[in-house]
Amino acid sequence: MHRLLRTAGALVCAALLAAPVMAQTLTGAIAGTVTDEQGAVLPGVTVTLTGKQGSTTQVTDANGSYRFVALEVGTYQVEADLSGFQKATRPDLQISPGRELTIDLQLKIGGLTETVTVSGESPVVDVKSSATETTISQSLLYSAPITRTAINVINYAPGVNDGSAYGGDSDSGNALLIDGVDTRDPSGGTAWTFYNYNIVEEYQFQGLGAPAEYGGFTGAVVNTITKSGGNRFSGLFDVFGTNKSLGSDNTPADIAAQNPSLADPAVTRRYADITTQIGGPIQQNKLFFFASAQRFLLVTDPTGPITTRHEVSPRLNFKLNWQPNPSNNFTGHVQFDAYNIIGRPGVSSLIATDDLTVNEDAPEYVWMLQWRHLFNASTFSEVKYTGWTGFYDLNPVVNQPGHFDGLTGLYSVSAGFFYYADRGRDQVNASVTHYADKFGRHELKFGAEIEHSTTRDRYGFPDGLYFYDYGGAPYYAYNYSYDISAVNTRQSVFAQDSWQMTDRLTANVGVRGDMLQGKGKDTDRVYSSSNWAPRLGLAWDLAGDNRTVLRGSYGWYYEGSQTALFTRALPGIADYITYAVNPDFSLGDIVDVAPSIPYKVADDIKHPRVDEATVAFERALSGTMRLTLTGIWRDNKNFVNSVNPSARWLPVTTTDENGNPITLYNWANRDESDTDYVIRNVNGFQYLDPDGNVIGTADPFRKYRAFMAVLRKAYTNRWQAQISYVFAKTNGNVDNSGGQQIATRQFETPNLALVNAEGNLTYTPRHEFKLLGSYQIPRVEASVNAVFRATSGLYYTHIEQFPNSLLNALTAYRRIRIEPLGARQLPSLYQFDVRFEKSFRFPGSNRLDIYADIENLVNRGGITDVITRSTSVALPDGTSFDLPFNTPGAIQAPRQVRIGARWSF
Amino acid sequence: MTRHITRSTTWALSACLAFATAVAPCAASERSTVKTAEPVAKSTPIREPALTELSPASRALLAHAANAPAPARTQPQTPDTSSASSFFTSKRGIVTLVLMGVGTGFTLWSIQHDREPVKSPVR
Repeated sequence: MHRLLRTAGALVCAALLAAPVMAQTLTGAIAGTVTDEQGAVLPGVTVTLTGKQGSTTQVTDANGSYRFVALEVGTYQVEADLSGFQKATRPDLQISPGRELTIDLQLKIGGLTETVTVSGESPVVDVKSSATETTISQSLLYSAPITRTAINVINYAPGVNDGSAYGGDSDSGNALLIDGVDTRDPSGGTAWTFYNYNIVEEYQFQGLGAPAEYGGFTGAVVNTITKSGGNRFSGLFDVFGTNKSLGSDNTPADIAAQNPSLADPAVTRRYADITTQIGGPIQQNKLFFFASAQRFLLVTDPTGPITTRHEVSPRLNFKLNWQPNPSNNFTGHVQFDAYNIIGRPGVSSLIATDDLTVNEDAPEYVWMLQWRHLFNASTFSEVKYTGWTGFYDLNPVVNQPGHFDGLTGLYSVSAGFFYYADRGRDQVNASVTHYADKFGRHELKFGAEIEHSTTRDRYGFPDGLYFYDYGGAPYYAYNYSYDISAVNTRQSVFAQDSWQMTDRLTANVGVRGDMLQGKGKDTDRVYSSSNWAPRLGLAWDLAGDNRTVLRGSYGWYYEGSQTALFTRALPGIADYITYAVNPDFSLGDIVDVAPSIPYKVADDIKHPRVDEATVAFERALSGTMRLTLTGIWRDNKNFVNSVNPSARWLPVTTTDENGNPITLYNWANRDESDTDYVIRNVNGFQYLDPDGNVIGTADPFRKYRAFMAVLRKAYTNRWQAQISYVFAKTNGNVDNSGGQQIATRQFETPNLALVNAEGNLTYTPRHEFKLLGSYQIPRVEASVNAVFRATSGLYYTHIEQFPNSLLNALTAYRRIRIEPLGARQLPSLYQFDVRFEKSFRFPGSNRLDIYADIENLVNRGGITDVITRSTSVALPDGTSFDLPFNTPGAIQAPRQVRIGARWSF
Repeated sequence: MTRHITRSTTWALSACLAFATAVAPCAASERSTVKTAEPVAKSTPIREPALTELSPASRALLAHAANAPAPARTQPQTPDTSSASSFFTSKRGIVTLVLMGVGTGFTLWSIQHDREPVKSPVR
């Protein structure tokens, strides 16, 4: 016991001294026991593991056991050899990140040259993990007609829709890792860096019962591992494209009549995605390279008046793996992406013309350097330096002040703004993994992480002005801008143990600490929060046959560090100045100056998190099929928002546009209180009337409850599939669209915090059915691969903008729900995509694939969005039309055929 | 550390990346016919078999085998698709190099050409 404690203590110290990590597991392990035909263990057996980067050997110990650790993702073969016995070989073992395969081998007495190849399937049920796996099979992903925007793959996982994972914030709640590099925007947490679908070796989704090494998310983790070179040369050359003639129109006549903008549907004019890749040895068994070049082009005629949108992403990837000796492995990976768009709408896409667009220039570099060291067969460490840097600039196509006409609702001249975002993240991760065999079997992992990320946001108007006209005549002009620089720093530590207490019971315990600080570039610290998160889990092999497991987990998951939490507390925001304007558009007197006063941040602020409990039952139905049933409970805590402690609110009762009475709140002392804002955990904040009486108390909450059933069938008998059904409900008063739990101003006014605030959150459909499957047709040897998704409609709410004369508040504060949140549902949505693929195999492992994807095979025109607030639209050609509440605002993309060819070896 | 990516540094770095992308294959080696594969992980020390843990049949067999000369240990070989001649002098290698060159060149051209209309004036 003392030895174990000493070892653990030493490893903790080593991890902390080694400094920083982002330790998400990128490797797996293979372990097992070798026995003879009578079942007695065989010590001294030479066990050889062969992968694409070489071989390694071990000799079984006194218990007949062996273990290979720190294995890169890929396919391996294990061979056991002992004099006097036949060799036993297990080929085609697929290693996934974070998973240990148990491969027991039995040797038969026989000739020295005889080899027995065991063709048993890899275990289909992981009876040690308490995390509910939501991984999608790699072979399914590669054969499926999924979008080439790799980051969207998350939406094919059960329980994830429109980027909202298990009720979490859409997109911003998820951690997106490429080879361990956190590639999210350090400002708001959304995806920033994209990558070539073809460079992916493996995807892993984590999110339910994830161990302590995973942190910085309240939705899910997408762990993407990129390809590496090996001893064999490999290459891939892929051309994939479509054009206008291969597309359809699916706008139903009645929808086009309701919303004339949809009568001009989006048309894909040209799509071309070209990838060239090669990987192989520079020096056999020691130094490997992988290189990829890709150019992605998409030219569309979008819905609405814009005629052309031109999107390009040229990307280069290069990766080196160097293993100078058996104990050390170095990896370096760099990516450059020059993503850019011409024709991005600068105002609502329903009314934006080509002049009202902006150009987007958004290149970035991503890098990763990693050193993995094996101390012995039971202990290894990883040290990693990762990061990325880039910018995202939006420049108006017409570089002149924009105009908005208050009478006609017409936008004109230009998009009217520029926006420049600089981003960067540096991160150092270190971890130590140790396998111990005291009091059961342990897989201990300790790690530390240090992150330093920077953001700079600049916004302004061309020539410093934006004009508000009335009936074509000048009326007001505005001057406003900001330039805010922020810095996030984070120190995290974690310790976890997968403790196999008995042959059938495994406890997965861990704790994670995150220390977060935020500041301006030249300011003192404005945000600070230290948090400890427990992770507890149990996995019970019910029958002791590795086929049935009962899992349970409980854990706290803190959101990542995001500067959006505190940027409003930083300097850099200019006053909002309003000018009178003369008939010749020259500026007159200053009419109003709204001073910029930085917000304050509460000292005792707690970082947002979600508390999660899961219970799962998983059963192998055959050697290749398993069924998983999971119950999920998630409650979000520590919502951060801004409030105005000095504001006083006068209840007023009025009639909404449906003719129903509604009680709202007039900002009674706006002139005296509109500079007093505090960023804090808003639960318990009281809204007061002018007499100091409490009119309501903020009680933000979000509760996700779900039942998930997933049936997985690995490829045998010509078919494979993943079929899932999720029944879910997310109830609360903080919606789960992006950034809602940290960065909105919802709680600055009781009209948004209290009025019709509670109900169904937008991005959790009640019923969700997903099917990914593929079938290999006999004789012709072509495959049919399908993705079918059926979800009940997303929720939405009727909103009305009330007049300033009634509420005395900013426009954003006057757009108020006139029915409970999520009171309505869009129609159910059905999406059916198919890929047909024919493969030709040639000598030398050459393979040629010809494939065709048909997106929206049945060309459905299901409604994906509606107008939630009645409005009018004015176009430059003089036409205008009303868009009343409930008018369809968007429909599914029409049927589009894409054709591709791929040569690989 | 400045986060500004200037046009010149962007070009220089992407050219370096492209250079690496294109040149690495040329620097690549073929499987040596002399060298043996090395283990990627450190092996545990070889232990003498503990005969007391074996079944009687295995014990008898091993006792017999202990007096026999040890078989030559075959070094595991990693499958290799290439022939003895260099990959890059093969037809497939040449085609691969040409395609990689075209792909990388096209990507570099796109980095310059497609960004030209959208280059931000403040960079």
